Amino acid sequence: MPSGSEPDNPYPDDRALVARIRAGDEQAFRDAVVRYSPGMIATARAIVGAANAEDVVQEAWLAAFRQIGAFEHRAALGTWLQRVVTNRAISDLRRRAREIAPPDRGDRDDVAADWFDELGHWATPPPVWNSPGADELLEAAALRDCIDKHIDLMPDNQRLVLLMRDLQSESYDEICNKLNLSASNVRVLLHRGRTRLMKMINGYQETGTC
Amino acid sequence: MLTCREVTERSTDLLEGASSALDRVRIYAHLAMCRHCRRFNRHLRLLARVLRHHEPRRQTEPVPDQIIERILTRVAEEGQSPQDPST
Repeated sequence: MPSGSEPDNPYPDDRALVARIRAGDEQAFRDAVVRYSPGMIATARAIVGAANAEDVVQEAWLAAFRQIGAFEHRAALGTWLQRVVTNRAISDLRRRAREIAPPDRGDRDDVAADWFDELGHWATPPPVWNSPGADELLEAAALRDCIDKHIDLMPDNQRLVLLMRDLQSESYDEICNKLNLSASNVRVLLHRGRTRLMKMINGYQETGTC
Repeated sequence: MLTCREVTERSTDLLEGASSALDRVRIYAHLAMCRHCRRFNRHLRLLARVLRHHEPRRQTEPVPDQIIERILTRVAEEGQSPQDPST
């Protein structure tokens, strides 16, 4: 997220930008829209699909503009806007009668099925992440693109929970309320999403592709 | 005694602080003896930490001007009416 420290940035921080928007500065609002819309559109696209993403982002900016007076800087402006757009996207899904499905408990995590034998012991143990070290591996630009790609490929319910919990650091209470799922189901979906990414990373380390 | 599969299935609960006391004891007992499951848990913690700071690359791609203009027009037309901030 832009930090506001660029030399040509007239806003030294979020507070300055928000203060000018509250004061009715149209240029400040335009600058905020230009700065934060890419991330908001990416999030909306991940939840409702490309065809509906722009409408959701328009709704989110409308809500943000109306609520900016109540913004208390408890989170960064970008984080707050991400939550606004996520909420709008979930509402949009609901409006089109697309409920967020709980995990199918009868079907164990098939992503990990081939990791274990019939007794539940490791058949294919996890490889060491060491290329050259785990931190370096996970910071590699190519792998980060692979993470994006595989988040997009997740089932809707897994992707939503992973976005809200891991990328946006929302609390379980918030996620459960917004998605109308139990905390237990949220954790199952989160685990399956993370497992899917771990499997991708294991393969990436071997082949360099995803 | 939990199997490796059962330990991995409970590892997000453990990481999120949602395991029961009994499960924690059973998981740690298993981890003490199983390096593969220790590695799995280490990777899971690492991945969760990386995801917290992950910024999808496409989030930095500029948005076409027409989209920006449509957002600004919509807010200019409809954004003036006050709304309860809690909604």
